[in-house]
Amino acid sequence: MNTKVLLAIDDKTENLFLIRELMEVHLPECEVISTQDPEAGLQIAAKGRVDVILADVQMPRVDGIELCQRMKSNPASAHIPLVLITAHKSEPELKVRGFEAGADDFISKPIAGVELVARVKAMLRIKEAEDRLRDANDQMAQRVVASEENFRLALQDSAITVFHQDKDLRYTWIYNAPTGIELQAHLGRTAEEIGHISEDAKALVALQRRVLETGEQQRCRVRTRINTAIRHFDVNLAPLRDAAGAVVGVVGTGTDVTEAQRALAERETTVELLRLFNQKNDTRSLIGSVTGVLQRWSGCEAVGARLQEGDDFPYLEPVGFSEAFITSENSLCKRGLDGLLVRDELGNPIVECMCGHILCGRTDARYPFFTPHGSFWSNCTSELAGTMDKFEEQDRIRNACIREGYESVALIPLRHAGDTLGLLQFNDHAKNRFTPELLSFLEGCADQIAVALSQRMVDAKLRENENRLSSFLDNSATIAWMKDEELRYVYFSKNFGHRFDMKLDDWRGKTDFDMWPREIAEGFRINDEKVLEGDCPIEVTEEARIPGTQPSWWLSSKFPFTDSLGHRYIGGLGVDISERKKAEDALRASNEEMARFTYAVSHDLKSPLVTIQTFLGYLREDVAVNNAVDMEKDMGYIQNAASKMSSLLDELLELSRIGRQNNLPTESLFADIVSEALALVAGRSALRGADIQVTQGPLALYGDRQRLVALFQNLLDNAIKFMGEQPDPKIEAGFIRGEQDTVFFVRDNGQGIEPRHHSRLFQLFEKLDPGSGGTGMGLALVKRIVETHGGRIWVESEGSGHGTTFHFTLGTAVRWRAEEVG
Amino acid sequence: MVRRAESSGFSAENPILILIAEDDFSHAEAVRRGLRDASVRIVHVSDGEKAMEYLLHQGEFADLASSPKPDLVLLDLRLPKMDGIEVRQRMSATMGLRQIPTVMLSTSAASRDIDLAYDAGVVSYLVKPMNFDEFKQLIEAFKTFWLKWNVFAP
Repeated sequence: MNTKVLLAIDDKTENLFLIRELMEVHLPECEVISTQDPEAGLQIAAKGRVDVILADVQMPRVDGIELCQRMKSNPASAHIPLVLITAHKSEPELKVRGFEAGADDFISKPIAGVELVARVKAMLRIKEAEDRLRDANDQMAQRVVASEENFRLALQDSAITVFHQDKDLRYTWIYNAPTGIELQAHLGRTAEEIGHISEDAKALVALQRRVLETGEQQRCRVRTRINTAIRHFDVNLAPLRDAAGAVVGVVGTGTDVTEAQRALAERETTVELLRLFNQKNDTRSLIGSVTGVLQRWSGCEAVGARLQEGDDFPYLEPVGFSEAFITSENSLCKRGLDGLLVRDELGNPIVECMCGHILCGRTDARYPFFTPHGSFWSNCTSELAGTMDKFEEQDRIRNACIREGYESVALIPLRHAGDTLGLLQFNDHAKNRFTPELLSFLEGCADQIAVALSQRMVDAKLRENENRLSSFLDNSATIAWMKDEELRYVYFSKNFGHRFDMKLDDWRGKTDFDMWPREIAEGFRINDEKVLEGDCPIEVTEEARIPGTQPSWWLSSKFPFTDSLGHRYIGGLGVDISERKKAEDALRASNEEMARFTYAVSHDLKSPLVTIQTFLGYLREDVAVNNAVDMEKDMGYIQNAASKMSSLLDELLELSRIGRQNNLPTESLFADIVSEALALVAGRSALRGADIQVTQGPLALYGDRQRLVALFQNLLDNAIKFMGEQPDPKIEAGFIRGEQDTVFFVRDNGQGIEPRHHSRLFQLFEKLDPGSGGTGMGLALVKRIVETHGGRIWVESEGSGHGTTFHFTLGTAVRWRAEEVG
Repeated sequence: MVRRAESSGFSAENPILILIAEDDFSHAEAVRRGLRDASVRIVHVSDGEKAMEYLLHQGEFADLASSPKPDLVLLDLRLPKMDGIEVRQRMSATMGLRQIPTVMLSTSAASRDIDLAYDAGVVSYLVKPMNFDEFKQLIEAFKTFWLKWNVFAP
């Protein structure tokens, strides 16, 4: 290639610098002229010599679109291909405006070297074709006015055929300029008899007739079959007049525009391919579209791409081949009788046929059927065998294409950065489908396709890695998340999303304070900052809670890391330890209860012993002095202490049995249980003359009947015991059926309990009134019974004189009977 | 004036006043029996709130003449409604009560209880003996220390 000139116009020096660098590296034979001033750019372009223009869309004063319009409206620069540089995510509308303004192509920022070069190359190729055509036209325009000899000479240089026709539209003179030959064979024939494609010939004859009839000039395009190739001619028709001015025939020129047509088609193909590359499509749909475009453009009946897949190179989205051909030829690998791959001494699979040679680079440009690029082509495979004699590798050829009758076959490797990704295959039953120009254009296309493919493969690999990593995380029991340095979420795993009912798309860029209640977010933030400040991993237990849901506990491993761009992140992996935490809490609670219990037992059991010991001492003294009054008192204290000790031991035993040693569960009506409990406290209640109400209803309790009775007995007993000075004592035992739970209650209008004492009420040996005579174990027993039935208990009392209500649930013990109260 | 049991300030008419907060009546009675021959007056309350009411002259103890400020407080550790530790904590936080020497008398020898008691401001912590001879010795020592040698604030 002779030196090409690229003109870069951009208001930003850094972009110009980048373009210059990229070109220097990738296309050093191309000279780069750069300017920041669009006006200067227009002037440089108008002076000629520029082969391709790169211009930024966004520039102050004169923007890229305007620049493009002005460039294209000046004949001196109109023909120079112009590529607009657009921002990364430009509106399609901008591209439309660009195309309308005459832009030939677009490249988006950030500018990648390979892409830039591919596009510049494509443009240069187009320019070259156009230049050739323009030169030919220019030359013609200059010379057509010359003398007959000059005219002939001029015609010789151009691709023009000149002809005369008589009134019957038969050719009387046909002169083919490039060859300088008068086409005698056509003389006396009409346009329908000289090889034009018949429909075009009909149209041409009709036009010729019009010229005869009206004397108007006409022009049209016809396709003509010359040898096997079809060539395109622009035909100009004018009347041939005699001296008197009467129309006696037709004079015409036919310009062979096949090359121009091809250049135009090439350019359209290139643009179309580039457009496909820029679409967000996967490899399969890209190849599908590309083979379609190539089939349409090359005119070959079958076009296919083989792409590497493991050891083999199967077809991807081939068009025009028979199914049987694809099935038998899909695999290129040699297989043994066992169906397994045959491998060479290096362990590589043996890739067969001509496709295999192309893919493995086993080509030799000394043979006419290989190009320097490493492609294979033949316009007549039936005669190929003769030229293959000395090609050593011919034993691996399968000859399937030849058997299929494909005369024209071209195989073009898809190579990028030294890797062969696959190849493009063009097959046609007709001979002479290919020309060297076509091959070299296809090779250019193949290069571009390879770039696009390798990009997609890298993308796909990246995506696959990402997918693999995320499904690794999504399928583990560990949840994962990632925050940036500002503690904004950049990622969390799917199971994180499921666990907390959050979608990553909704939460990306948000912080914990947007997601969680303030105190929870605050806890996360403190730990995250510890990670960032210490720049080291930590392992912490964290609570996560969304209002309206159960809180959960997580063992979180948090760690700092930095990506390749230097951004810092916090990664987090969390294991749900809610169950463990619950068990630990229960264990802790049980240990604490145990400690309290042991402590209380030691204190409260010791107490009557101290009394007994002390008053035994006093008794002995009193006996010595024969003090009968005090002796009586001493014995009274001893007796009280001993019986207190006895009931303490009984109740302790009972308490320890609850939940451990149960009677077989039975189902009893609530009313029956309460009646039995009332009977046990009857003496005392009669004493206080209390009015006792019991809620009626079809409710049964399933559990340890004896303990359930004890539960109500204790509560009723307490109600009576702490009635205080109430003149009109009332006690109510009942239940309220709620949405989730049935809540039981025992309510009195007695002396009440100050709210400050509520918390200690259910603890062992807690007595609010030491004179009440109890052991301080009643409510501890009650609580224990409720809890063994899966319920909980709480007290409500506004304090002195306001009565007391004990509420409790009984969990699984509650059985509603079918019949409802009317 | 030195206010000591054996000094001229005390007499049968003006005995040392001890407030005993003890939920077990028999324990209070045992102490009362032990101090029967000394020149002391004993007021017994059975829970922590009552003890505070007495000290602050509230409720039934509003009459300062019949419920004068005690010279010494004997507290049980575990008391209904308000335990001994809290009683002493409140005393320590109250002007006029802070100085009253407080002796903890408990069956508990748990070090946590002892720590808490001293933190709250007791001056002495006694563990109720199980053995009568030891009980007698404790009462004698108590009398010797508190009623003979100890000097109370005026």
